[in-house]
Amino acid sequence: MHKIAIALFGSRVSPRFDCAPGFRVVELDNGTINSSREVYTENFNAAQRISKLRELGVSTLICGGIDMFSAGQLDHHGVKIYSWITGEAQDALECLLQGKLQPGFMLAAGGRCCGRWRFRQGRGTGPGSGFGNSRGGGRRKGWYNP
Amino acid sequence: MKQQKHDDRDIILDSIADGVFTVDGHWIITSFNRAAERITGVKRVQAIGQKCFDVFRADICQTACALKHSIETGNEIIDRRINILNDQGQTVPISISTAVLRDKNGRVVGGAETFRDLSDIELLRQEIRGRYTFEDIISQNHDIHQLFEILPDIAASESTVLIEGPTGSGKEIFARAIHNLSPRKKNKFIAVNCGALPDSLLESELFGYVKGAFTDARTDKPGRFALAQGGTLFLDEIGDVSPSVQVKLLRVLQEKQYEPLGGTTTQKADVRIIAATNKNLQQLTSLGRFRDDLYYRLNIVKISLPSLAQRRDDIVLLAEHFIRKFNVKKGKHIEGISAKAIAILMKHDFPGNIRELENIIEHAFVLCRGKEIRPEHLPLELAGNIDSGHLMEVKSINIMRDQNEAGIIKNILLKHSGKRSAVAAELGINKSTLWRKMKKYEISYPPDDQTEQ
Repeated sequence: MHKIAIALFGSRVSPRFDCAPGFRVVELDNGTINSSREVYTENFNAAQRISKLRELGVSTLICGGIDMFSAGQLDHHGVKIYSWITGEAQDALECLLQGKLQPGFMLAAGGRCCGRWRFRQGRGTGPGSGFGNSRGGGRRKGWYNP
Repeated sequence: MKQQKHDDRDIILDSIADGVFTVDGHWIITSFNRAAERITGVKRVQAIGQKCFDVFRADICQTACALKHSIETGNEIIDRRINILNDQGQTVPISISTAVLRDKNGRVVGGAETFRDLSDIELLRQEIRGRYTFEDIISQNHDIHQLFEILPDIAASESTVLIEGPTGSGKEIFARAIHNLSPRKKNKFIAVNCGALPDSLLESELFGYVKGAFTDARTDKPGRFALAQGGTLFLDEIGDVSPSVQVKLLRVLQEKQYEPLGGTTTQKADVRIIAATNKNLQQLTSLGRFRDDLYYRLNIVKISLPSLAQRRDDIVLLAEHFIRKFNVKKGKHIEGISAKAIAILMKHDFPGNIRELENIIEHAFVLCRGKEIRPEHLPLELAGNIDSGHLMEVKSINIMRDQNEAGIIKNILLKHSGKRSAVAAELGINKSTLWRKMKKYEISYPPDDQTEQ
């Protein structure tokens, strides 16, 4: 059993983990969706959100931007984070189930990846950046160079 | 002609010091100036064509969008304070102003938002007020994150807290974070350094005195317990308190009441105590230098802070934080710290912990005239720590890592007969990253020696 949470803003992935009014929590059994429900987190602070996700047994999170504190805490608890995702939540979920989703994906209609976020010089919170899915990125140029 | 118009508009927008972006009626960004790039960390080429909330990531985007309000009501918003999340996962305080864009017929075609970075002002304000939350504590260390997990529960309780940790390890910041997270946060946080005051003075400082209690006591003076009423009293260096003050503190903790010096009326103490020490209190009790009944009263919830040497993974993060802080305080624009200077810091033991690191960065700020802190800007005793052998070591580790990586790429290329997409998938990187790494390590497929044959 594997639980995925997607930070929601309407039907889209919420641009901010700490401000998302709710999460869609999907339960997977052998790679197929077993159940799906929405959890409301309006007025929750970052710590309360993290404890809610832990309480629900979430092991993977799809979200837009995420602050360093939340990313560090979730990483500490072994939650795999796909951050800086933009687009429809359903598309992001399907992309993840197909094994194609990567942090920083810009999703167009139909779940097609139409680009990746490129940030300025310095540490991002993307892969290999010191927080989130992998550690030790440290200082380097933008974490994605096409 | 249209392109020329766009170029002119971009030149004008880029000359503005504040961030500016415009959106059409579908919240799609149509222009994004240079200052907006700097504040958000998102490049213009990426921002244009995206939904504004996916780029701007403000705390109000999802609940009370200011631009939406302006477009719907026609009312402009001026200087509203909000925060955004930048590309580095940092919350940036800004002030925004909005305006409605209309075509020549007066029809609303979109909106414009200007925003100003308030990080510098907020940083100074926070320094002055000392209003730290635990989200302001900078760490990626496992032990500290374990503390973060229990901190909200500790804060919510009314229990006395004992913080143990070496000097300069951030005990007061943790105490402030607990206070600011607790139900007492609207009341005062009062800090007393018990080790800095002689015995008689400490007593009057803590409990206050009444007029005539001693020569020169011409008026009543409230003590720190009275000042912290309803709030939190932070007793730093509690291990240095004399036995007579220990007895008085024990009474306050037990009975929640005390008498000011020379006073006859008992005062109620509605104060939460957070005590801190860099000594081992348990050891002091066994030596008879600290009352064990007071120790057990204080030691209801104990937090042990690691030294900086035990959380070396935070050195770079903390150094970058202090660089940001001193850039604001000293009006400099230092961008970072060189790899060699970091290597020196990583080798240092930091007996003075985070405070020592802060002082080292401040020292470097005095000497650094460029954009990067280098080994020669560090204090001499520190720069003397590093020998060429260590630098060689750091260098050889990098070479070893590169050789390893190159070897792995070569093997996987052979395994997949040079199919780049399969290799990238196995390595968990994308094809362009693979291409860059192959170029860096001068790897070709089929291998050059094979082609020659």
